[in-house]
Amino acid sequence: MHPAKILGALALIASFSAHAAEKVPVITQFEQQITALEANLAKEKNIAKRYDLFLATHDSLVKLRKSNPRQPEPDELSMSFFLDTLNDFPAKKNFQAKNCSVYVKKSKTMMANRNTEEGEDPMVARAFKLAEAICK
Amino acid sequence: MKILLLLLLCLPNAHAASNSKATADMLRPLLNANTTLNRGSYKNMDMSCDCSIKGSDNEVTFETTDSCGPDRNYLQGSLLAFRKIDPKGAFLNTRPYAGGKNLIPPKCVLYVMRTSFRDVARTPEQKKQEDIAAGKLTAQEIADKNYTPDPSQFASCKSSNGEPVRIRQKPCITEDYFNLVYNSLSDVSECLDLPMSFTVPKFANESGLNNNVLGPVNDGGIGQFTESALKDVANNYPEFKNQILASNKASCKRLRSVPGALVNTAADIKTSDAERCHAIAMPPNPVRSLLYYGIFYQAAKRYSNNAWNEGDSKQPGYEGVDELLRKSGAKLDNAKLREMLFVMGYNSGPRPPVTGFKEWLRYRASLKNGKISAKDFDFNFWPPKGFSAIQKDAENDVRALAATKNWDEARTRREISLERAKRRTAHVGAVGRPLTLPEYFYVYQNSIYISAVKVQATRLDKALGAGTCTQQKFLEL
Repeated sequence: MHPAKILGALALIASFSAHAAEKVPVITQFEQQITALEANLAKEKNIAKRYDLFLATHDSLVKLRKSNPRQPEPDELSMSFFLDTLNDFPAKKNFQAKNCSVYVKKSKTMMANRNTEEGEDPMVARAFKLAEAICK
Repeated sequence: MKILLLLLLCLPNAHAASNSKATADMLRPLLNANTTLNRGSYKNMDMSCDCSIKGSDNEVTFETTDSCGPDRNYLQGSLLAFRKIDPKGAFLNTRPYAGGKNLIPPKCVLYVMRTSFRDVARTPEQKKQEDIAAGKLTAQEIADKNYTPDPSQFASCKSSNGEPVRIRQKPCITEDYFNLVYNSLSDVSECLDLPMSFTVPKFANESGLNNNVLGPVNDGGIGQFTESALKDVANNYPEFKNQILASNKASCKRLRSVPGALVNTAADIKTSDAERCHAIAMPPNPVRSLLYYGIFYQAAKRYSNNAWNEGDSKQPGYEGVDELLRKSGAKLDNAKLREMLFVMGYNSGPRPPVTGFKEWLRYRASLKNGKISAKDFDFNFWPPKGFSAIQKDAENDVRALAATKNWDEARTRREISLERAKRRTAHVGAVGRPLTLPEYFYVYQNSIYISAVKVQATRLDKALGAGTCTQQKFLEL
């Protein structure tokens, strides 16, 4: 192995050892809340209740970000991509179950990557699935 | 071709032997006789350039059916078919160039068509021979190199709704073919209010204004339409179709005179990969696909503006772009910024560039030395070579570590993404200083799309004169 590569790998190990002692990263907490929401949406049959579940988690995710200092950029972008994908879903007072598919369609229009070679950002794809789970 | 051969045989030998230029001049109408009728000429137009295209210096010229050879003349039948539906030559004949806010000179479009793509995709052996001739690699390096064929990036269509068949040859850029593309694009630009000075650098980065380009993921035709983009067109089709039908503009009238260019309903727009000939088969393309492009452009611009302006009704106190810009204290040309994000949105979807831009503004606001200036928007940025190696090395190193630490896939993916960003930051020489917007898009969103379009605009400016084919200060503040 080239000496520069060995040094790079050693630096990587050292930096990850330091990471290990840190608390659970915000992005991990963020994703854990999404996982819990996905499970709850799958169980709930009533669309209005599913929307309430979504709004509660959405609110919690926003608060999680606000209550923490700025995270590494890839994490911040991932969280923003997820929340911005769901931007087309309105506040509770404006939500109409019959328009649910319209919200999903608008979300895809605004966020879907037109370059299919690159594929979708994983958090955007996850938000699309969540949107469909709300409206199923 | 048989008619052409017969005419050549009838030429007086004295002319052919005594003066090759005179012979070429004499041959020209005969060479063109099998494909064109009653055509104008570009002789009196400015076709000058600071360029050299396959032996033609300082002038942008057409190819001829003769110079292209049989393999690249496959559009001749389609051009004749177009001639049948365009007997007066509204699209196939040369039009006088009068300028106007949405038009740019013919030489700009011809330059893009002539200089985009190789004439024929190379075989592995051809690539090997090129390396040998270049003399930059050792014999061992050449022996070890895995030569693969160039991708076949053009397509042939037997019918308007079928699946395209890939071919290796670029079509011959004859005067007829050029006229069809240039006149169609001019009419769509006038009819739907699309400035060519904005769209042509973009086309140069995509299809090279070739009607039958087929990209790696079946992104097809002059507009390089993917299924997702065609769905956008379908979603917006009724509104724009009505606009085209109601318009009194001569350009709109010409466009709607082409049978099949305007399909009846949005449901008639074929979006699947298996039906991509819908956007390629000629006729009615390139008119149809350019109309779709115009609709896509207008819709994408609207979406991009919406993404800029929107808030989130679920989040009280949500800060949108204007609020973040105001907080940054920077005095910037917002119209230009919107234009940059709009260009990127063509490829990535309308909102992701805005999301990225907002995050960049927040990132800069979080830094002590994060004050923003116009220099942070220099899209002449281009990262050094080695991008793929960085991606791969970062992933390999993190995966090796992940195996020893028993990380789950989610943790591993996150660490890969952090490590890649770190190495890419070093790659662009930005360690210890704030990233500019182009660098941020590259490092964190893996996008150099705006820079790629900027490169094309610079190329056009250099060859054809600054501002001749592009907007002044295109994609810059």
